[in-house]
Amino acid sequence: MLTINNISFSYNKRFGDLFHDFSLELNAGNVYGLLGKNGAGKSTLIYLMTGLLTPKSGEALLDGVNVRKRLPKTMSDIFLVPEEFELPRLSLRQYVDLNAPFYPNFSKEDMQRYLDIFEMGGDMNVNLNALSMGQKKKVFMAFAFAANTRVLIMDEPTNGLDIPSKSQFRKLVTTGMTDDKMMLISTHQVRDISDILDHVTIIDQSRVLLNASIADVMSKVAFRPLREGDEPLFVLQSPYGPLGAVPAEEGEETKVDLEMLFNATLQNPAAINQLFTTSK
Amino acid sequence: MNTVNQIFDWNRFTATLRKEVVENWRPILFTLLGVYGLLTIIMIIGNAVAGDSIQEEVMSLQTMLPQKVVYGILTIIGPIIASMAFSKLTSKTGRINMFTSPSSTLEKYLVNGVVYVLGFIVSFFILAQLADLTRIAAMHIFGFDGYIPSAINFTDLGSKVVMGVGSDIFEGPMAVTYTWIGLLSSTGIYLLGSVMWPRLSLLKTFAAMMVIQLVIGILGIILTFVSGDALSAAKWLMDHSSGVMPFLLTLAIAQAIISWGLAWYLFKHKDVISLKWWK
Amino acid sequence: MNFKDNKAIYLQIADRIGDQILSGALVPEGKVPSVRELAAEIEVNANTVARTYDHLQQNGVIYTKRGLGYFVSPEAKEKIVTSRREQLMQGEMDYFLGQLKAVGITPAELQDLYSEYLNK
Repeated sequence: MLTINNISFSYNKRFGDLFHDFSLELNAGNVYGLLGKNGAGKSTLIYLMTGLLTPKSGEALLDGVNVRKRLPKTMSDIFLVPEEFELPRLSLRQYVDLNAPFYPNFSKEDMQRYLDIFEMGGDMNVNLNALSMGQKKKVFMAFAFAANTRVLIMDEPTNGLDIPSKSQFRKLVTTGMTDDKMMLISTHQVRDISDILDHVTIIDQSRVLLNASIADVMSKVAFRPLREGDEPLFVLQSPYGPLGAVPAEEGEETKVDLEMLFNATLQNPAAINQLFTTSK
Repeated sequence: MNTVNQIFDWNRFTATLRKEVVENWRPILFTLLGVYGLLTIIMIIGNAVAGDSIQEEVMSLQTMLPQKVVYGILTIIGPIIASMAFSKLTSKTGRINMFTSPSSTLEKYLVNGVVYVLGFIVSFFILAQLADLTRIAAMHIFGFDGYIPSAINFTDLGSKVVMGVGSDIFEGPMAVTYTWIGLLSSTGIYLLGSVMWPRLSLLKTFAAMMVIQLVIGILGIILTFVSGDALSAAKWLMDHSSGVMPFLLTLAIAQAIISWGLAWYLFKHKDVISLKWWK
Repeated sequence: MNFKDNKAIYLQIADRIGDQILSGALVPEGKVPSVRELAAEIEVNANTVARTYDHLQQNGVIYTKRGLGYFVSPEAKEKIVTSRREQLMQGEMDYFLGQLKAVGITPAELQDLYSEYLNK
């Protein structure tokens, strides 16, 4: 659905390409996680795939149309929830009134449902300006999901949310997801989105270190207490003894610990890469 | 949505315009009231001062003093307003907002550039008319016993107002056009500046204009020394055209087309993060 | 860290449903929440839940009625008990017996303890 074809991009010619000949295919029915430390290039990639930045070479396509053209049919099928955004000084009702017409699949019922998940359903007359930062984020995300665009991209969505709100966010994603939508969540707070992803892409210093489905991860990496003879990809000392990420044995399936996977990839990119590129 | 025109759609355009107006109704109202207030005060003072000591002739249509003052104010305020046309592009969040909204780039340009600037100019003339009517009412209320000119028509603009020369060939329907061309070219430059440098746009554009004029002036001086005859170029122009006016007019038209066109081009190529100084 | 925390998520969810069937919270021939409903409720990816349901279907614990959704099989309880017994025997039992041996508990003691437990 959203195809990134051989994109190269740099901010500064002196430091070389931020992304070089980078390709990625994002398909419907999947929730993609874009993980990386702050400054790894996640936002840049997001801007490139939403038509906000022009690549040096290559292109990002939505249904074959170059997103940089910023055509209305493209932009009305992509919704970006940026890390920082501003809401106008209007009531929620006015905001919906003015903006919903641009999204043909916008649903008022969905908006209400998502506001309810965030426990903000009550007052449509509330002035957006009077809301706290966290509340503004919730309202904006509720609108984003209610727009029912086929592509929904969120940049650091859980930043600034308290723990109950992070749970509400997960509920929002799992409720709002359908087979014809594609969602991408970019974050460095890996723990917040455990178990809601279908696919994970880990980048560091704008190189893609891992690009795999969660199912693939589960079949190739085991996350468990370490035993003798293990050659761990990452070790975490716990009160129960050393835990780690190790290459999975035949048929071994453990719960995917996203945080451990993230750390393992950053620490041991070569080993991870080998594990995932050798076919079984 | 695939069957709808991707370059311009009337419904989408009006939805975009409506969003812009509703979101910004406060600054819009504030500006219009401010302009109205300013013009009213100037006209009342003008009437009070002039009506007190000078004869009717001064206020007659021949000198068109009120129109000149109003037009003069517009030539200052117009570019200022134009320099704020794309102020949304100042912040990253504003840029993200602008580029992700599902209208076509043309519609965005029309709403933020064309409607905003031209809308202001039209509103300005209407407000001038209202201010003048307010002047008349105010003068009567204050019991002013001097000369109170009757309502002045600010929409009847001739090149006399613009250039102050009494040239007959620029009367009639074409006259208003010249006024507009002048306004379009001057606002166009500041509109371009608004796209190129959203931050401190007015200042930077003004500075750029000063620099350009300085450069032209220096080139003119160099040309004079090189050609040895200061007036030869000017003379040649005068001989080969029916006067200074068509030359300046052509210049103004070219300036307007280039400014508005370049502003469109740069807006289309603008990104959320600027990598080049003009982008 | 005990074994259960380690299990693949889709299997943990299957266990949870199994628990509900054994406790009677879900009855035979009763309706089971749809994939999406359950996914939203426990905040887990719908494809993971789908895998759970596939697994449960394969094991005969639930079945689908076209257009109506998933339902608990009449023989679900037995199936769950059987599979859990198998899991216990293959996995934790060995470890547990090893612990007993290590502290020197005799088969007789074990029998007494279990009888006492069952009588409660």
